[in-house]
Amino acid sequence: VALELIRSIIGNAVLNRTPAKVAPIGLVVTLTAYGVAATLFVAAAAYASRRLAADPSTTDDATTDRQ
Amino acid sequence: MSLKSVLQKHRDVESFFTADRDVGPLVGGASLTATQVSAGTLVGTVGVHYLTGVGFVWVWLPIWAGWLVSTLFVAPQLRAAGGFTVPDFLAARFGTAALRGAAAAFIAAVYLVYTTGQYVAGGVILDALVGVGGVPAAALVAVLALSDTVSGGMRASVYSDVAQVALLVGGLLAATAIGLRDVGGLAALGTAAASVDPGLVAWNGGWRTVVALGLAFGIGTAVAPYEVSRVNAMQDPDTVRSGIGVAVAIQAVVGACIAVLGVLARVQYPALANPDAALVSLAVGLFGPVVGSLLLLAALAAIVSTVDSVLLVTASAVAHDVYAEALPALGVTDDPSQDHVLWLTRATLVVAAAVPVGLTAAAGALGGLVQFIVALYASLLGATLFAPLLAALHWPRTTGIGAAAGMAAGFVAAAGWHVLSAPGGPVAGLVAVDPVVPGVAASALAVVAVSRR
Repeated sequence: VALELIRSIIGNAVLNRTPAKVAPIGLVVTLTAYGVAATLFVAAAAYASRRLAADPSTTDDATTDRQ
Repeated sequence: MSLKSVLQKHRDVESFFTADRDVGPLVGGASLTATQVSAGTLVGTVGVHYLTGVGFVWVWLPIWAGWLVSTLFVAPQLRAAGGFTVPDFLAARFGTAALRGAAAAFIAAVYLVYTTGQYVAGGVILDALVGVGGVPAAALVAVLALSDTVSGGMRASVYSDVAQVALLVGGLLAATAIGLRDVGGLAALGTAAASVDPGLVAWNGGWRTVVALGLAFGIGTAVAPYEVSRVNAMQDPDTVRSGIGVAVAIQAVVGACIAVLGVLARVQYPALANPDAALVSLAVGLFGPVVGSLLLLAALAAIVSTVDSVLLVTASAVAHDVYAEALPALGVTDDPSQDHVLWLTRATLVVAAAVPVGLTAAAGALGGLVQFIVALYASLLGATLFAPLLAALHWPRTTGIGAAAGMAAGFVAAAGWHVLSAPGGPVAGLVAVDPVVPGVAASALAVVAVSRR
């Protein structure tokens, strides 16, 4: 009974948000948006790399020394 | 117990598992990519694109988010700690051999599931290439993966990864370019796909599958021990961050290519009984012997480069973490010699490659389609390690027993949810609630609750 209840609550919560229809906007648009997203991720990784380069918690042996 | 004092005892073993820690960002990034991009991608993801369309391409975003979490909070910190396995770090952080042994046993077990998925896909590829499928094909993949790893360890594995990534990206780009030329370009492919099923060109096609698998892959990627083993072979934490950036850039190209190939396969062969056969159907039926073979070899390279990484992680868990460290620390055995540890490492590599060959017969119970076998591995891994590892790295109040409780709770919750949500189970059909969700929630609660006692 408990599992049926969980299924009912979570199931309805998830399934009710399912869009009635998919939105066909085309292969070119979707892949272009994907390319933009990929570029943003690489830029974010590069930014994080520069920003954290001088972080003392991630220099060699810092974690070992702290222990 | 300092990690360095442990490692000085095992200089030869360390060299075998870390390639002397001199791997740079480009080679390291290529190796991270080769490890990440597996049968799940080349066979499984193409198959899901075949079923759901281009919208599944968004599954890469949570994977890259997992890489960002790793860049910011996990990989550089683990590299700075100086060990060469995840259990190494846990043992040094909490000073408990039992936790090291438990973590190593879990890692060795869960990677058997993962290797099984790779072998299932290898069977599909080799059946098309040379007419050998099933168990013989799995055995052939095992031999290919063992050929360099048994003798050369991490160094051979990393540098063979670079060649395999070159083959992977070259094969995918060639096949994608020729496939698009044949159908008249990307716009023409979109029009043809929409005539088969408008959902194939929808940005949100298959979104529930994207959410479910993306969560599993993203969380699993952030703490995956086979990626950590590559991280620990790099020169320093800065190299790790740069290497992860390189890996994301290469994966972006791979993701775009396989999205196009999956949709192309659906347009060309709209009634395949098994979506996992989509890539093979394209290679055999559309591209001709040269490009077709190149595409299949690219898929085989992805499989072999992942399996050799997995075998090294399993061998380090058994030979280094359990045999050389946990058992002597618990007083069960004496300190073994370097020669004994290296001998057991090579024996474990062979056993870890051989056992999943037999498991391929039970692939249906693990999820059936390659993508779902790989997703089950990622769910179990993320649910078990994500919260305990992040807490160990960043929450000073975390205790060893809290981390152990988190690992146990995460594994039980994720495995339990997988069983309950299987077809015919009481929560069947909730594909949007991947086992990683209850798993990570239970694991985090257990870490906090037990550590605060």
